[in-house]
Amino acid sequence: MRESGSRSRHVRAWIAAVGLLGVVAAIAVATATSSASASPAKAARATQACGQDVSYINKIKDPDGVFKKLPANIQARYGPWPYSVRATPWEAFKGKKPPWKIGLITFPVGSPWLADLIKQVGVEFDKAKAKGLTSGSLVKYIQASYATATPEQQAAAVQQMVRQGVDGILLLPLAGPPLVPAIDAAGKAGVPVVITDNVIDGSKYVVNVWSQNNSPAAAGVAGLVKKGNILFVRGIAGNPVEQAFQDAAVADVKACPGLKIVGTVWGKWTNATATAEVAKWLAAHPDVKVDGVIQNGIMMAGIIQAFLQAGRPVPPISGGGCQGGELSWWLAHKSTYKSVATCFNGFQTAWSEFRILLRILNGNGLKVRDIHVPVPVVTNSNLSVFATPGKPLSWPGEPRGPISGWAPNSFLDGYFNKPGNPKGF
Amino acid sequence: MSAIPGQPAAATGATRIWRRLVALQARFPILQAVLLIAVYLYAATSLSLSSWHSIREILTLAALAGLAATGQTLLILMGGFDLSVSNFILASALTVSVLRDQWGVSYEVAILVAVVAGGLFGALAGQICHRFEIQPLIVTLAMGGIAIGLVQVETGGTFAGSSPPWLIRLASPQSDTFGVIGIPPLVSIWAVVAVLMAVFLHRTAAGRRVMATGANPRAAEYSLIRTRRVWTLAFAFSGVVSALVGLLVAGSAASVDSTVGDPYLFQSVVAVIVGGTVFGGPGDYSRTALGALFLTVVNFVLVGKGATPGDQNMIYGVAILVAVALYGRERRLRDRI
Amino acid sequence: MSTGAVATESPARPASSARAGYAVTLGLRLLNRYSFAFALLLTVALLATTIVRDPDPWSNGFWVGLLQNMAPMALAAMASTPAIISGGGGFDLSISPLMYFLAEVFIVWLAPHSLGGFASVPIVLGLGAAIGAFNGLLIILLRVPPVVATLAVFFVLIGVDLRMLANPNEGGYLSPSNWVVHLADKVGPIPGGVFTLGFPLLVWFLLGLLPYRRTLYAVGSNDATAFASGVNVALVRVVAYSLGGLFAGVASLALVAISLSANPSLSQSYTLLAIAAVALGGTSLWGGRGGLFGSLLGAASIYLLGNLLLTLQVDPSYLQVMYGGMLLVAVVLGGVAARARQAE
Repeated sequence: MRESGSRSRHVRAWIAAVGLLGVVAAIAVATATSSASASPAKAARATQACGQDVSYINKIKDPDGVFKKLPANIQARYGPWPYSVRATPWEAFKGKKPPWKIGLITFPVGSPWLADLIKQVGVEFDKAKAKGLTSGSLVKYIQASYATATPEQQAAAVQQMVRQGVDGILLLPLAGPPLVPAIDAAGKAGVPVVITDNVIDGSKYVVNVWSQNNSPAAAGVAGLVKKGNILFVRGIAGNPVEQAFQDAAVADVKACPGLKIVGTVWGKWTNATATAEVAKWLAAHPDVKVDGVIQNGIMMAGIIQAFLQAGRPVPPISGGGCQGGELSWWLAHKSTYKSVATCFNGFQTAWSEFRILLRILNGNGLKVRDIHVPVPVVTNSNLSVFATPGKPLSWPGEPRGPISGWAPNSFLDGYFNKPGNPKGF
Repeated sequence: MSAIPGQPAAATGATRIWRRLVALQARFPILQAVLLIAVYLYAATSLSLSSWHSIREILTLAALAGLAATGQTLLILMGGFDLSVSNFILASALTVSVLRDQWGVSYEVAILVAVVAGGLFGALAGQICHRFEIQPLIVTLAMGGIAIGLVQVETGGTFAGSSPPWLIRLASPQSDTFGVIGIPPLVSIWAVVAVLMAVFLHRTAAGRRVMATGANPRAAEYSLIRTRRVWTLAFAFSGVVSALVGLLVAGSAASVDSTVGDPYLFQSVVAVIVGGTVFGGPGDYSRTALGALFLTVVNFVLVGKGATPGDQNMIYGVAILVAVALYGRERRLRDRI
Repeated sequence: MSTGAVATESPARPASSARAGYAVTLGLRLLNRYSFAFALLLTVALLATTIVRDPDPWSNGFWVGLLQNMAPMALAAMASTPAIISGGGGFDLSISPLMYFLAEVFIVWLAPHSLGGFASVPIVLGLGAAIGAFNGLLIILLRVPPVVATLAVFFVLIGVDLRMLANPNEGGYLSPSNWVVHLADKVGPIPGGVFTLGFPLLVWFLLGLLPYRRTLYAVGSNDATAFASGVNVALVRVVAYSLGGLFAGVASLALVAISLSANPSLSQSYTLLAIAAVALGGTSLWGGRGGLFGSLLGAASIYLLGNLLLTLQVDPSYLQVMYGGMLLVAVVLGGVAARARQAE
């Protein structure tokens, strides 16, 4: 009869489903237990002092021997650099004759830093055009929204720009590794791609210009607190740069034996999420005193908000990737609030990146593939230089600073065989 | 009672109790409430989520999720999904911010503009859906994209300025309603909305029309229910609610960035489904409210325990499946012939 | 839904409007016969414009690049299609994280254990088909709406993706000498994209030779009727979801071919793109209509439009508006054609 026939089919179907579920569960368990947890570079000295930033300088991978050849003062800039330092084909590059066509590729604009960077690149492009260094208009590819953005789109944009005859590209990757083939293909075709806000270790032709701008602040806060409970607020899970930030911050905290890590929440690098997640954690641990918070990027304002909302005293929060709102709040509470931050803004980044690209296109001979730009450290003593007074916590502004305050010309000269910008730009 | 030949045997006591429980579950969200209480008890004991302060936090975040799911409830009752929630939330926050900061419009007028725009976009979506018999999933997706695209053309980016102090106070879990009653204002608003929705769906003719349209659209047409009007108004309502939630989200966040709306997209669907509203009905808003509370408490537990995002997502997915398997199932195919 | 009222013709119409009316009817008939007609029109128009603007369109590099970059999204769209055609509210939201999961399986498990050669293909495809079948069984046995069931699997897979590459700095990369790179480049003179995009189309064509495809469409149009005719609706649907998983496996290979890595933080990025491409391609979300070719064309339109706007340097915000507009036009046309079909 149909009833019993369908029932036995039913049973068989359930068995199949459970079997598949078992397979899936087995895979899940296997993946969970097989995930490695090594980091790009382990901390160098066993004797890192409390409050001192982690240094990988003795462990920097230098397979091409170029790091050894750098002068000592430049080598010293690579303290918190966890990746390798490689030779670059752009050293032998003779350059092209100006004017050049320049392309700009970025992930979706969701922060004032990126908006300012894009604006400033446009400004620099026009200034350069007036000097005959660039031609046409800036070719931009700015992804529209995170919901539909993929790194493959950026790779396609790199290829498309190369086909259109662009001479050099400034790129802010949505994700680093997927762009390696496109960047290397562009490099082989003679188009340098200069990256910021990320490090791509696997590409031969890329030019990495990066700031480890979280661990100095983390080390500062660790040294400030010295003894007590630390809450970690992390960024986006699965992101390689986020993992690098975290490894360095953990090393900084471990250097202070009096500090205890009491929890980790994931703020996804946005203030709104950081507020919600920290608020949830605080609600679940009302009796745990939080003496310091270490966050790995642009979430300080959100964390302050969460503590204010919870009615708890705001502890020192590491201000990595500091924004204008939190600096202004800090300035207003300077007499009672202490913390450590690292601050640079989008205008400064754009100013320096543009000049790096121009120098490469001019054939100045870049010495190494990877440039680490140490960031100004902000404490209560120099806060007023960077903070804009009188702004609310949610102000979407940036820290102040001179336009060449991130990587000035004198800084860049050390990385090129021939110093100076083309045509004295 | 003796068995009559040819009739099924009389039900035993256990079966009768089971049948009565099943009938009760069809009318009241009992299992949902039980699950919620169980999860909350776990949270209160293994973490310190039993203080009044923690409850306020939970209720406030649940209120945001529940309010965002209001329009979604209506749409799911009518047999569709609204994928524009996240984009409308963001578009509304950005519109108000742009109008205030760049055009100097007063906040009240800016709110009005955002709400009306949300309603109009929603109404348009509803009209298109009904007139051309298209699945709402796609039309709302398209509408949401258009809305956020238009706003982005105007703002040139997707982050907004700060909200006025009164809105921040309104959205804070620490405030009290009217400064007196010990409940956060957001929660009071949510409670009022829940009551209004319950009255609307169960006691007004319009609400009956919504339920009828969802249960059997063709029969509704034959019953002279103007289904096009029902769809248009329901979508418009969803748009208006999303716009208002956008403002509340902007008020509760330290700053608005391009991803503020994203969690609410799938979360609103899950809240409705986990609450026990079946696709196309039956269901109502009280179930959604329970669903939102359940999800929020689970989230608090996961965050409090320091679960990694990987674990959080896996547990979230399994929780959805378990909840739906318990009380969200549809009729057998052979019963539909 | 409103009943399709047949429009009555007015008595005397001028010749031009009669011609216009005829053109409209012809267009609708075309759309009825070929649900992908609008997407085809869009693709041809966009492709023509792209070729005109490109400095070197007849080089192999152009087509290689085009197919390679389009492949992941097109394959994600094609993977989402069988589930939608199977009807009953059929939907598969879990394709994007499944793609990334299979990509991670390849990179983290297969390649380091010297299974990264051709042996990886049946493993990845088989695993994809198995997970797809699991989706289908979940929907059939639990009788939950497919959107909800696949949404739950979506979250679980995102979690698994994150767990698998918990430290993304270790083991998330593939050597550029792996054979899979050819899928994004060339296999001899043929662009690799032809193989990745061609595989699902080939499978679909072969299924058309069996009675399966016809049965699938019958189930999608009206499952109660199909059931009453003795069709094993459950099996047909499970196979449909399994097909989706299989194609997701191909998508993961295409993804790995381009990027030589799998970034778990982005595992949901193809979800909305795939849905939009499927709808653009004329596949009705009610089921029983549409096909893989339409999804391919839909994805091609989306990709070409984005590419073109880059070339023409149009503000990316307009891209969002245009996507939404294109999508609306496509589904409205599909709806109008369906109404005309009912009226005939």
